[in-house]
Amino acid sequence: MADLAAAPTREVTTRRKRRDWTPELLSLPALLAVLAVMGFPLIYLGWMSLNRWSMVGFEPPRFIGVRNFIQLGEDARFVEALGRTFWFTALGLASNLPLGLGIALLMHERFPGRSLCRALLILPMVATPAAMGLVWVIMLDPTLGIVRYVLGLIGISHPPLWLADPDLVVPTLVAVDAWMWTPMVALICIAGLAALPSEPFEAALVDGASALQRFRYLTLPMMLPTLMVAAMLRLMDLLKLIDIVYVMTGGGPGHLSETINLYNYLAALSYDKIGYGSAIALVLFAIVMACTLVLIWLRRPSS
Amino acid sequence: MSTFVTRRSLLAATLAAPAIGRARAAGFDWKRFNGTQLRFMVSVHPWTEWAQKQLPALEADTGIKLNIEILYEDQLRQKLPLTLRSDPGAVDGFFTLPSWDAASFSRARWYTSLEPLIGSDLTAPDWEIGDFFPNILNIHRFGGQLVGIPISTEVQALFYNKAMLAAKGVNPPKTLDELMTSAKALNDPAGNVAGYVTRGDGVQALYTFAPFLFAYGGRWLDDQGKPELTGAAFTNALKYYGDVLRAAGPPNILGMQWKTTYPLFQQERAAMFQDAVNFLAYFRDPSQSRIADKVAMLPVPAGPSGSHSTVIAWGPAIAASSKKKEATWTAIQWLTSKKNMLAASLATTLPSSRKSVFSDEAYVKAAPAGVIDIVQGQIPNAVPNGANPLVVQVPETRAAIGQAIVAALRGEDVAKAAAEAQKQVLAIING
Repeated sequence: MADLAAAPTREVTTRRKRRDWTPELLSLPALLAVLAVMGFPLIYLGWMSLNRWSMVGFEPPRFIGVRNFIQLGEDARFVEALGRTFWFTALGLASNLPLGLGIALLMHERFPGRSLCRALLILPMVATPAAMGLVWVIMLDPTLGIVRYVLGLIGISHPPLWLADPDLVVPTLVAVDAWMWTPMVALICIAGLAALPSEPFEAALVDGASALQRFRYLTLPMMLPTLMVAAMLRLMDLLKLIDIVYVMTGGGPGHLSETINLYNYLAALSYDKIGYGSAIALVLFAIVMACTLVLIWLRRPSS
Repeated sequence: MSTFVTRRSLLAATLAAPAIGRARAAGFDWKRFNGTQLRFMVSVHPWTEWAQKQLPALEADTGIKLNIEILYEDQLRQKLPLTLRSDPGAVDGFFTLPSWDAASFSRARWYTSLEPLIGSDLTAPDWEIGDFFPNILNIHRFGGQLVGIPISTEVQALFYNKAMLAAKGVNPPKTLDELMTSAKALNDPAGNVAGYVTRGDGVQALYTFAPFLFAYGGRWLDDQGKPELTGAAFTNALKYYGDVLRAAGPPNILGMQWKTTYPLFQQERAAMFQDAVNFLAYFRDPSQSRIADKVAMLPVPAGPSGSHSTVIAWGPAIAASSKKKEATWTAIQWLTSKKNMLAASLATTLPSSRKSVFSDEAYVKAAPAGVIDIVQGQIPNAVPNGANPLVVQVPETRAAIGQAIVAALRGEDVAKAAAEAQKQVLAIING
């Protein structure tokens, strides 16, 4: 009896000891591919950021340690672009999320022409940002643009200068970005709303809760995980914003609308300072990574 | 290069002398490099598009098979240096804009000095370098060497709307003072019309600002190649540029690039406009312009030191790493011959770099009214490559100086802005 009982136990322990590596082995090729595709560029970027390497001087790369990073701290243009990028991101999130949720709530209701509205909604998103940027430049032109004309019709004869106004240039760009990407937030929210259970809402109705109360105590808390996903996607995009800024202002007037990503592009590929540009890219990567991790961490308790 | 010349002249003096004598007697031997294949890397430009169409004729005349790779300017600026550096010999000829490339390409030793070739028997006697405007050749002269052959002449002009000036009884302005007065007189914010418009974008505005700098007697760099931005000339020019555009420019002048300035003039929303002469084509075209029959041109306005336009020109150059320099020169020589330069100017309407084209009857007839006078008249006093400082780091330097122009357009302290620009450009040059 004792022997019989001991035998399977021994077998179990040996099986436990001899770890089965099959799953790891099977996923190894994929893991290696990911490392090669994502890891190598990052490591190479890190290496380049430790070098002084100017394409324009046609000098070979020269190792200078962390000097590029020290120089970043002293580069007023970089520091300003960094602050501005956060400003872009804050304004972008503050406009995209409420607007997107609002549109989603509207689209969630049943009304004639809802499918058409939903189809129209995604139009700005599917257009090329560069082309849309140019269209907006033309529309916002304070002399020839249609926006001036329309504002004139409603009695505004001195419209703002939009992109030429140092104080308005960032909000204007954020507005164009919001026009383009709020629909994406709305689509995510529409999906989120459709997935919400109907029982709590019916119960609230029976209990006599007002629309505002239902939104405040049911919709919003239940939609938080969805909003977090939307926020994360937009956050990453906004921190890396470059396309519409490049097309619409080139970072101007002066450098007043220059984002980190635009400065990064100019430093590396226009000023041909590959090492310095790599350092900026690495800092931007770290910021995007850190912000995303914070959001993921914030999401955890609710999910 | 000198070894090459010695070898060539040695060859001419001894072994090949009778053969060359024969070739000269029967005219220049264009077929000397028959069967050679060449590769050129060039930018999109009316002239390179014209050149591409001439390749069959080039092959018929010289036996040289030329492959032209046409790239957008930005792409060329990335691909050409990479190719020249990583694959020597892959490119035989390329298109260069010295105001942008000369300092860096010279430092990298990518140019071939053309004068030894021009002086040798490899050059047809009727190609005649003396036919090029000396000041236009200067555009392609860097460090004492001729590095390319300019294929056109791009000067600036002050465009004005004849009807608008006449309606307000304003005379076309010839000096800075007159420009200021006329611009203010023509400015009509209530009617949505600017008196004068030119570039206000920090990076692009260096080009249109340069004539003002030269009018005040300034220059970008001193003889040692150091920036010269703290003197009275630069600050006066900054102040003038800011003042005239703030007083009579469109309200959104800050950040205006050429693609937003010229439509204002074209659509009668600005009475005067300054930029490259080439813009005339946009204004003369009745299908897109309201001023096709109202546009006229003047030289850039004169200041205390006179009227000085910038003058820039693209042109073909020979890669120092090419193993077929002589054949490359033959192809370039063929494309830039008197006959072909005239054909190119007739086909593209670009003002030529050759004097003979300007006096040719067919061109005089074909050229848009006023162009010949404006271009030829401004060439002697124009500043070759004046569009920006001739430094290795052109884009970064342009951005730094552009900040001072933006400050002037915002009405800020120009002396402070100039001092900051000087400091930054010094730092950029010193790396």
